[in-house]
Amino acid sequence: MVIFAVMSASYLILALVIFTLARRGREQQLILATTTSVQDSGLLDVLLPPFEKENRCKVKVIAVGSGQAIRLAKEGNVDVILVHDRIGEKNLIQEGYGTKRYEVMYNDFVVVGPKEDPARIGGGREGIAAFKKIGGTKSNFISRGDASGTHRKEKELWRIVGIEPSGGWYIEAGTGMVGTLRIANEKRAYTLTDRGTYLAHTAELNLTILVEGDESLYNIYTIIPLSREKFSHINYIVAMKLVDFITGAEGQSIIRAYGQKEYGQSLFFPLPIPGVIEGE
Amino acid sequence: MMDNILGALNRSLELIISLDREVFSIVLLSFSVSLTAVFFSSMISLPLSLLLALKKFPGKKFVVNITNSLMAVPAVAIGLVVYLFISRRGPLGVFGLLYTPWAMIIAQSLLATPIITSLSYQTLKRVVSMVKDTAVSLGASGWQMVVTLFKEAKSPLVAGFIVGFARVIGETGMTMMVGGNIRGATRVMTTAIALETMKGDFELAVALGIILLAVAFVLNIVLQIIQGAGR
Amino acid sequence: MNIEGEKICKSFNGKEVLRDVNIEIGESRINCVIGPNGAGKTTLFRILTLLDRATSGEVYFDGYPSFSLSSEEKLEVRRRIAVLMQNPFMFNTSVWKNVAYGLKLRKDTSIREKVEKGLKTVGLSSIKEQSALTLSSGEAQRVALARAIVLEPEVLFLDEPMANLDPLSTRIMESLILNLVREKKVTIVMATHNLIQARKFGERVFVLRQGEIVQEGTADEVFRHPNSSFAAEFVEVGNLFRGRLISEKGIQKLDLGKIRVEVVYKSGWKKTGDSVFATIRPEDILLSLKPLHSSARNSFLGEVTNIEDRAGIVSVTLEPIARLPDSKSESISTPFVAIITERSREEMGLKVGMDVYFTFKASCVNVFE
Repeated sequence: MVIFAVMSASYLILALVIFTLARRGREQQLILATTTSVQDSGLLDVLLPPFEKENRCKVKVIAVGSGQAIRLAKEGNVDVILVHDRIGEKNLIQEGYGTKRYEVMYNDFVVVGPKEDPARIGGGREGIAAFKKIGGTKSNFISRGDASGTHRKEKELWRIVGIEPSGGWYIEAGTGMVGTLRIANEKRAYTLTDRGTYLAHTAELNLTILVEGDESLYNIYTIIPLSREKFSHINYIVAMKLVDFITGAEGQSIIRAYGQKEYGQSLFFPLPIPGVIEGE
Repeated sequence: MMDNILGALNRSLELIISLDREVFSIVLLSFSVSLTAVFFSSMISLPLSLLLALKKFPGKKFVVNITNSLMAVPAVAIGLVVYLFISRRGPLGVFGLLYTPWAMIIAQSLLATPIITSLSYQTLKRVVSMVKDTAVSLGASGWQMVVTLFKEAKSPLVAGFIVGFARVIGETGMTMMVGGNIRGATRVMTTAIALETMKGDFELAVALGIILLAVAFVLNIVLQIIQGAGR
Repeated sequence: MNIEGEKICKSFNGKEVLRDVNIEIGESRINCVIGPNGAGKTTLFRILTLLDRATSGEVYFDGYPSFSLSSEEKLEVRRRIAVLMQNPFMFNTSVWKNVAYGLKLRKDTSIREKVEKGLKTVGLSSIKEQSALTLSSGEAQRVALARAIVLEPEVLFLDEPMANLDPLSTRIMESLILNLVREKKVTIVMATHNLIQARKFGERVFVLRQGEIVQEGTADEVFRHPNSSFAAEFVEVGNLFRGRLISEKGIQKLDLGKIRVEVVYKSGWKKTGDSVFATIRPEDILLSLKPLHSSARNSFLGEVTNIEDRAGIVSVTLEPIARLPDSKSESISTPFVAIITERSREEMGLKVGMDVYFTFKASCVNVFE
């Protein structure tokens, strides 16, 4: 049937056109994978526009869990990642996918829970002690359960106190930070969260910060451009420009100022000496 | 909690009425992606359904069965397959299609094609039995007969497309997987609603939700009219 | 155009629908194919008009077999033939556009006048803008006819065109068709199971039964002299008898039990003593109150057992009264059916139970094996 052949041919031609067109816009584009907590905090909405304007480019942000971002990096589907998962990051560098880790900022985790505080952890300054009490009393605890940076931090704490959390009291949400907080809210349970997300959603939540200020709860975010050797298509130049911007004066001041207006406190803190951490 | 909802509703309506840029760029993207997807779909489904309606060939029953069964493939499965193909590590990786609107278009086309093919085939089959003999006996050549066929089947065929369109424009999971829900680039109504709801920003979610519902509603009404008016 | 079908066979999924059909559509202007539903009339038409292909056998168009024709040539042949189906399909548009359809296909340059003329011929000019889907079956049939005739076909096939029409529409269609033949000299091939119609139209009649042609001839031949009991029953010859051929005083007769009927049986396979079939058309039987002395060789007395009024035609059933001493009066009944006008019935004062004389010529008795 002639008609059939004609239509198939035109379809193939159209497909070819699409594919070639799709390749074109790549030069002025940067794909950044980051964590949902960064995305949800809204920081990027303030941080990226000035960068985009100065460099006349567009940054496409994909928000996933830290673990997933790292996997995306290994697949080569992004140009640069901004995550908070030290082990995964080091792994990425070691295997040659990423070039270097550039530390950008940090925020801290806090343990939040119901006002009633059944496990009596309130007022403490130690994450480890809090976890011990929660595990001991088998109070309801909601875990991210999604291999995100938050989740890994949580697992690390359980490991330190020597508890293997399981049972009816330990619930794995498998969703983002906001979702997890909401579940904790519904079930009047404890959870580990980054300060930023919590602050951004206090209005709808009936949970209080019970434990904070512990250095073991600090959380460092690093930005890692992918390696040009592994992936020839990476927009390395623009990726490095972003690194410079974020770790530079302009980026850092934006980061420090973010959150002051809305919540009265910063959500993220610039590092004292931001920059390259070789090897470590 | 209640004034939360009412407040959100209020603000969403404001967003819609003031023709908020972000809202409408999302809506526009939704439409462009889904319309293009249906267009591509039609390029496969129309010739295919025509072939099935007109010709007999060995294995025809098999093809018809497969087409009907493909309709039942869950969208996320399609999303997964497309993702694997266009990811940098996949066979089509060089084109860099992942996280672009084209990825969404491809996935949605694959989703819509079995639906549109199946519906078109059923329509054409019914029409063929009536039209073919009359047209041919009055002297229509093969091509003229096909044109007449399409003219007579116009309404139900269009209905098939509307069904396909409605299916893809309301799809979320697969679209998010291959598109990445990137703000300003691949964020469409459905993925935006999902994201904003999870974030807790109900204004945008509700505004988009209202528009999506309106779209679905209008599509359905149009569908009813067509099905009522046609043969 | 001359269309000839030779040894046409057609099977669908192993079921044989047409078997060894030989048919020629030629000079005669009106051809009728008659047969009951399911005989294969539609299938045969579809093969003769290149809508379907025969399983075996061949169709010749002006001498050219269909397999030798290229697709363009086949298209050309189709454009010289027009087909009117039983429930014609109307396109989802106006009456006017429906009629214009075939002309548009041929990229005709005078569509407007031809369509106007066609609509006028079938008397539907007033509804030319109306949607064709809203027509009654009679109107649809006429539109279909207009649609076919504007194409000025050489041969027009009509598949039971009046099967679903009311009597008024039927009469309109009939006169339209007759006009076509008279004025346009179109060859008509009509399939029907309506005997009266076939008789009215058919210059040449083909009797189709279960996929085979059992008789062909002029309308008169088939009706007066059906050559098989099937044909006889189908053409509703009315009086079908079975009896023994005898010779009485050198005169050929048919022994029907109660009476012996003089017949003219010229040549055939049967000899005296053999059993044969015979038919007599009801309209060939005369009724009288007193014995009728005429040239007719057969005249008998009978008792009226039934009178049936059929819209002005009266059908009278008679049971012959045995008159020969050696004939058995208890033999099986052999009713004769005669047809007279209502007026005659009134004048004669016929009633059930009365005795009347019925008379018919020996040559009217159609004997066959």
